[in-house]
Amino acid sequence: MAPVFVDAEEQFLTTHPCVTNVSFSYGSSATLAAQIVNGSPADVFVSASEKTMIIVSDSGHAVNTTLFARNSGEVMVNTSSRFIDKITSIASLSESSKAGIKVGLCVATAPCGALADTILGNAGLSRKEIADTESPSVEDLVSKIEMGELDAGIVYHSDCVYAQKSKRARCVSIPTVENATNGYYVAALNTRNVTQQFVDFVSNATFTTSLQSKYGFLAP
Amino acid sequence: MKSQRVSPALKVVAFIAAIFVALPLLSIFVRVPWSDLGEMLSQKSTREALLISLQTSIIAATISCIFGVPLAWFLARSSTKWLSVLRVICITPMVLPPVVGGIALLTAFGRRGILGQYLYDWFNVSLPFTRTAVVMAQVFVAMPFLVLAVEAAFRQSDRGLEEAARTMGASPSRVFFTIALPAARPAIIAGLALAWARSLGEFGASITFAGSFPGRTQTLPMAVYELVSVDYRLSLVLSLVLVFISVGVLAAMRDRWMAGR
Amino acid sequence: MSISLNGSVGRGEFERTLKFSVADGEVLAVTGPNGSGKSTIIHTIAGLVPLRSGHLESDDAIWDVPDSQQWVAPENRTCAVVFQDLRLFPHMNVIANVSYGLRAHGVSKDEAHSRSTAVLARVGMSSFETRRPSELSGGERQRVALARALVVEPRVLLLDEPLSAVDVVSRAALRELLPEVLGSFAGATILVTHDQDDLEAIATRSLGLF
Repeated sequence: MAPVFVDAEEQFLTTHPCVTNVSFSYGSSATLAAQIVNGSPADVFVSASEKTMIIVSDSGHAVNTTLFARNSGEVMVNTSSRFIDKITSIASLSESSKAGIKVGLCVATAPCGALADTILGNAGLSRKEIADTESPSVEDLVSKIEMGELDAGIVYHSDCVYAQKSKRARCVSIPTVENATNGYYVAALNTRNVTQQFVDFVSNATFTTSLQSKYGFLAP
Repeated sequence: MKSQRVSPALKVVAFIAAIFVALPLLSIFVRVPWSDLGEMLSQKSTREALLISLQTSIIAATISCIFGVPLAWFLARSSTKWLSVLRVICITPMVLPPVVGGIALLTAFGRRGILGQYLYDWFNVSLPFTRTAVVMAQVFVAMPFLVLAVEAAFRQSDRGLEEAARTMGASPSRVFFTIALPAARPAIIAGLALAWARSLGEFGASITFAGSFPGRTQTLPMAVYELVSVDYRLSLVLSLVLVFISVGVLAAMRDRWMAGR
Repeated sequence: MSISLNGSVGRGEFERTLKFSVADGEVLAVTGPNGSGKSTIIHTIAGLVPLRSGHLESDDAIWDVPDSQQWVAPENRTCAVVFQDLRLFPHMNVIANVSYGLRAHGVSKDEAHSRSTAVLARVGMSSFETRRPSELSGGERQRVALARALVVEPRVLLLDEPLSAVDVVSRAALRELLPEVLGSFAGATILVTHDQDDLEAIATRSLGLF
């Protein structure tokens, strides 16, 4: 979701001339949620899973929460990987493990990791059979795959759309029967005017539709 | 013996400094869930992380010693023009931010790395995300500690004894093993302890180069990092273990380090 | 001639030109005031310091000729040194110190032990085998250093101020011991001293540096 907001920042500032500055803090939803509970001075929280949003709302920090997008999983493969032709499905990740394929997943506590676990469960596999390393965030996982240090990993569909432009990674889609989705939520953490303006901006149909057409997210 | 009088102002400043360091450490002791300690320590993830940490750090300390002592000898005894440059390079990992060290290791030994690409293309050896990579990261950051301690000892050692040994018929390598090495033993032990403690605490370089996977490459510090936002109480327990080991190493070395030689 | 030196020794303002040789059985005393470079001669013959020019040879090998790049390392020269500061190895006991040279030459542990015991007896240090150097008096240490040099049966024995670090009582005893020990020593001896009494008691010839 990070590249989305990098682009959105300019749009928001143009349409809201009263706002002079927006600052973003990126990271794994679980880490950010913990920081908010511990008193981080953020106005808005965008999370990639319902679970992490519940952590924040249960602690009384969220004024309102809205689901604004969804994402599904996809297998990302580095284009120069030796196993590029062998990776055709989730099961193929496990089949190639003896041959030395290096696969990464997000940590189970991160939303992308929870998504990967659901997908693996649907395919009848476990983390241990597939993964060689766990990344704290999906951005870390994507960069390792693009760098070539990992052959493949389970990331978001939106990450794939983005990466395919750079040609360093290719994506293998996961059949719907195995796939799963997660939800993106935006929450206002206080009652300031600016806060609500940003929340409205994110939940607005123009924004959510652009997420789908430009970045590969799914409808909420 | 009359103790020296310390000015009150100095005492206040010293007190503040001491409290600043002691309070966070003591806070861990206070907040650790003592009643659940046993159960948490025997959890599979805890045991795995502890085992991996101990195994990799002991191997890394040993490797640091085997390679670091000859390096220290070379730095202390040779007179090449590039000596000071070489010494700086060998000590740099000590002051480098660990994550930068990890990136450097990846750039050299990763699958697209300067050396790593040949390892992968020719021998199908992929170093990142293996336990070997954990040890490599630890050696990278910890060996300089040992080299520094031992080089200082070699520099200060009695050349006269080495000369005497040479006149007795001992070759330079015999002199090294029978005279120089025994003389440097206290420094080697101190260097080994420091290198081990540093290896145990290594995080940034290791997680960048070796990644983190429970049961395979996840060390105790990595486990703590992951648990902070997920199971805070367990992260306190693991932190306590690390504090104990670190304090233990320093306490065991106090005669050497604190009291001077 | 067991050893012959003809060249310049020392560096810079301390450089001096010498020519001398010592035969088997002779004890050459090199005398002169402190700072006249006597110790440098010992170090040069032992191979710890190179000649500036000239040549240094023993009767069976050429040890140091700077102009033709000939050089024999200290461990390969058939000489042994008793240093002014003795330089006993502090982490080894007496017998290990004395055996060190023999072990370095490949002699077995048992044989080295028995030969060392014999030499220690000759210098009157038989009951001190397992003591550490730090437990010995100045005179006792001197004898151990002497034993350590004698046991390897060198062709050339180099003694650097052997009586300087010793108290008066031990000096007298050592002044008696040395001629006795050197009398049965088959090779050449070079003795550096600034004391006239030592010279008269021990040496057969002298070389003055002034």
